Amino acid sequence: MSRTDPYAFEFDDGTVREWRLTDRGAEPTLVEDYTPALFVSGPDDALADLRARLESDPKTVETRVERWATDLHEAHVGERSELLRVGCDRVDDVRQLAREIRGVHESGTHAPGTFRLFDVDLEPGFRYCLDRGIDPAPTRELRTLRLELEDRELADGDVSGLRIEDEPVAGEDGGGDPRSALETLRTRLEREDPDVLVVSHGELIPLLSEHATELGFEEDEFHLGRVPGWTQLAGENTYESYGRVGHSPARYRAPGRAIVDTSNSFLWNQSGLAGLEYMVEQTGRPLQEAAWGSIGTLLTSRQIRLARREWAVLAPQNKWEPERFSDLRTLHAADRGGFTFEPKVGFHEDVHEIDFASLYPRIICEHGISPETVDCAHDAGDFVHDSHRVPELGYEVCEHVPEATDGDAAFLPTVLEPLLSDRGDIKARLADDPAEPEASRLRAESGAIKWVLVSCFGYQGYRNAKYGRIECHEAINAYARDVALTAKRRLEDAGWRIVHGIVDSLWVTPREGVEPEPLEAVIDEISADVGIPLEHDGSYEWVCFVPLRDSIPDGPDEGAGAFESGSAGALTKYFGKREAGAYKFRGIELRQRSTPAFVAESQRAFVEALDRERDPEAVCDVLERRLSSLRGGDVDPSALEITTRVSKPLSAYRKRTRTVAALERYERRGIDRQPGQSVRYVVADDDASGPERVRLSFEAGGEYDVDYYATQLVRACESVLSPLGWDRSRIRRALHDGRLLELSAFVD
Amino acid sequence: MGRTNPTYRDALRGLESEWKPMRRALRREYQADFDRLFDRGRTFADAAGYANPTDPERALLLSLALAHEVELRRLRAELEEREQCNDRTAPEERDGRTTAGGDERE
Amino acid sequence: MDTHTPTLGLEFESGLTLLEVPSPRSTILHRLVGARLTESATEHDPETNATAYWIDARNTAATQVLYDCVSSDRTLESLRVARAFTAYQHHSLVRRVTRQAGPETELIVAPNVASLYHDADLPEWEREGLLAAALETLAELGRVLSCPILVTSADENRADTVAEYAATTLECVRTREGIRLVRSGEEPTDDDGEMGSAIDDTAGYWHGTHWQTTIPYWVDLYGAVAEGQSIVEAYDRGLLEVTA
Repeated sequence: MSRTDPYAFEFDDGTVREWRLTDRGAEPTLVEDYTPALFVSGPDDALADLRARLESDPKTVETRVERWATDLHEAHVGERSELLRVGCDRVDDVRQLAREIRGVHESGTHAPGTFRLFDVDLEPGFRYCLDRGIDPAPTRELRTLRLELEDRELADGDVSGLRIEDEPVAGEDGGGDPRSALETLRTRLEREDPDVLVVSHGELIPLLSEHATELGFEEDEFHLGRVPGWTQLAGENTYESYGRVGHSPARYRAPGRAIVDTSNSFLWNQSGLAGLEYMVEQTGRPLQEAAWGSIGTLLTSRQIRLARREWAVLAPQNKWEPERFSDLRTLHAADRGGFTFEPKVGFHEDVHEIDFASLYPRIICEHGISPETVDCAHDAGDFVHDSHRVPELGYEVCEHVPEATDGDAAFLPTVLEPLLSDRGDIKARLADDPAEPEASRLRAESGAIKWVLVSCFGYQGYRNAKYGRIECHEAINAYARDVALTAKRRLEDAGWRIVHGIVDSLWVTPREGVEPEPLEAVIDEISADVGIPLEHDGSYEWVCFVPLRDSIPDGPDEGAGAFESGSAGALTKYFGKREAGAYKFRGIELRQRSTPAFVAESQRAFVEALDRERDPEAVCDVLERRLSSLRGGDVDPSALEITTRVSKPLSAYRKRTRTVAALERYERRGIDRQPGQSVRYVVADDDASGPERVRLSFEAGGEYDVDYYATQLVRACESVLSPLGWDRSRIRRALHDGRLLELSAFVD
Repeated sequence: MGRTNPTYRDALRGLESEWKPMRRALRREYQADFDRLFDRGRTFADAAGYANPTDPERALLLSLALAHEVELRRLRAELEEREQCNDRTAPEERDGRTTAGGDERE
Repeated sequence: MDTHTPTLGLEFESGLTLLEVPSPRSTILHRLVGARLTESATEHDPETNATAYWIDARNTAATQVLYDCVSSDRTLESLRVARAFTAYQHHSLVRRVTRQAGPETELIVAPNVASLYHDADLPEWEREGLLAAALETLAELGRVLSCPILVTSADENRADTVAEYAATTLECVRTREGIRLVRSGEEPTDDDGEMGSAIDDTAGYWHGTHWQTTIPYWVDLYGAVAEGQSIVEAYDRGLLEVTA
């Protein structure tokens, strides 16, 4: 019987400890003959020189020349380069060695960029699985144990508040002490022998272990792993990405178990264990490394594995390959985004939303868009090949050359096709209404796939994407525009009118005075025509598209709504009622986090009134009642709380905003608020400039600024009525009791 | 990555702010008309953006002419409707009578 | 005062010229390229090879601005553009130009030439060497081809590094007439003397026979579209809503 593949890996001093799942737990195997390697490409003489230098480097165990492709295009045209393979004793040495090759060996004697490095920045577990052909997907159902501490408890180093599987370990009397908390944890670990520790913070690993030592537990008495010991794998790290500061916490390992840090696991939070396991299978990253990977990282891992296995292409360390020089006309045509139909502002009945499912990935697959095929312009050589051109851009897309690689399609389509087809299967299975837990597992997997599919297009344009090319990104966009306009034409021919559309989704309604062709038949035809399934996503009794705020006409002279092309619509602001009865809201106040509950709930009431009466006057009546309870002091102040995110420290704010006033009050009370955290306050006197402008949620006092909230209500009402051509002065005139509103509610 | 040019919508906003001085000097009764011009330009931003002009201002001018054309069509239709209506009611008006059966000509 | 060629008077010498621009979004370079190619278009057959290369960084090569700088789109037919998004790509493009450029090459430009070399994805130890190699290559190219190589920098500290490789450094000085290019360290002169040349960047600028609108103005104002974001970044920034 062949042994199953391991699921967890630890690297120490040039050895690897593999953990295989057994029926009862997991067993370790020590591997001593593993030599991780990086690869170097460069001119022959420079490589020979480098090889001689590296042979005396103690980090290096062996050097040899191997034939690999340095990029996808090279593989595509059936070529290979001779690269220097440098084997290292320890996996931790790879990065250091890479730095020395470029920073020391290259910089003294060769021009910068002489050496290109490959397979440098792979995570150890992923690298090992890749090198040894291991599939780290778990071979039986995994047992998890969830451990949590509150942020505050973690900061205080207080482990007595530990919760295991949502249950506090402290007794009901609240008399939890650290010792009994650790005792309880120890018992649970022994009894359940979990394969995965799901922790609220990675720092729980050192915190719990150190407490155990302090409290006199012997090392073999208390250990979070399957054997004693724990290790920090990576330090915490603050990074800046696109002008936003991010933070990744330190990572730890506990031998024999995979750790999932939920404060640093996108995938866990999106899709849970099932999604995680699916991505282990799809990427080849062991569970723990998959858990902390971003979607971009996971997609890259999947690409690296495919490139290595089927294309003999190594993973480049840096992005050296630039785009080609092109004339200005090509750049002008290529450098733009997807197609968006301007929303037709107004109240539309009988509206259908139709979507191209997974538009971008399907364009990639349908047209064979891939870094090696777009604008490949290769000399056909021995291979017979074909090509087609990208609409508008004229980029030539070369057909995949089957003889050149093991894959049977171009690279990017090969990355995506299995995901698309899995997603299709899952959808079909979910349509049969399977029982739990099957259904939630399927949903989790589908969610994980969706994220990767959503990312793959943007990722082609990401500057550090290992296998990304801006030309692919542009080609996909060009096809997407073409698809949208093809669909538009067919729909219009069939008697449908497009009221809105964003890239992959269209909103249509029967053209007035026309009996349109049945929608299902039309979308089937379009699907067949463009090669991408168009799906009927939903039917709406009615939908309102909201105009841009500054495009709402004002002034009594304005004959609003009379002009056929009307006001300019906001692309992502609409609301409507599904035929099944549920409302859908996008972009309007009640979807905004900062909107107070009272205003949000009132806006919902406005929409319901509009639905019921189909009459703006009726909506104004609701507004009138709301305003009068606001004036009468009948509104619970907690429903008026505004929550906003702090974007910078108090000292960095230049303007005296409400957030600043709130921060000043927090400061006054000695409470620290950091950027990224939220503040909650009620507006007490919006005319004040100091901290008295607001009141924090926990501060006493029932006063609120009536006029401020009245303005908020009027605005929320305006969003609902503006599609009907009503502006705030018309709303004002419709109110019977003029005293309810100050004039200030009608000016910005 | 990519995107050297502003989107057409942004270009419109740019043009609008570039012409702010003109708006400022306009008499108040024309300012709303001025604003409407750019609104109508935005109405066709999808198509104008797709045309991807090297000079967005030309696309704006064409969009405005188009909006004008749409409005003319609407007015012509309205006029025609009224004329038909007038034709029907004309005999009674001539007679100076007001009867309820104005549809007898049908 | 010469009213016909106010922007075209500046004859760039061959070799590397650094233009210290007031902002990374400055469109002065676009105008200079437009002016230069307008001059040479009359002398050159547009069917021949490329005569100008633009090594782009930070999405500076706004095609609309470039088209706005010439009276006929055909003027720009001999221009070739490639964009770098990482310092490595920038360095590669510089090397690629050395292979593609030839005697017919009249102009090579590289806006924000040092900018990418200060990005966080380039390790500290590599920055100086890689940038120096790129600048040295450009300077050498200018000497060998005897053609002007115009690079810009909006950052004073980086400009100092670039200046070490440049034969000439020009500053953009704001004057009442607009922006004036002057040799580093010299006072802007009022007459169109040998020192520099005026570029009017107020409401519009005179272009031979007619006024052009000021696309550069709103590019300055709004910038090109914000750096494209990957969907993942968009998610990280809370901009995206995705349902499974």
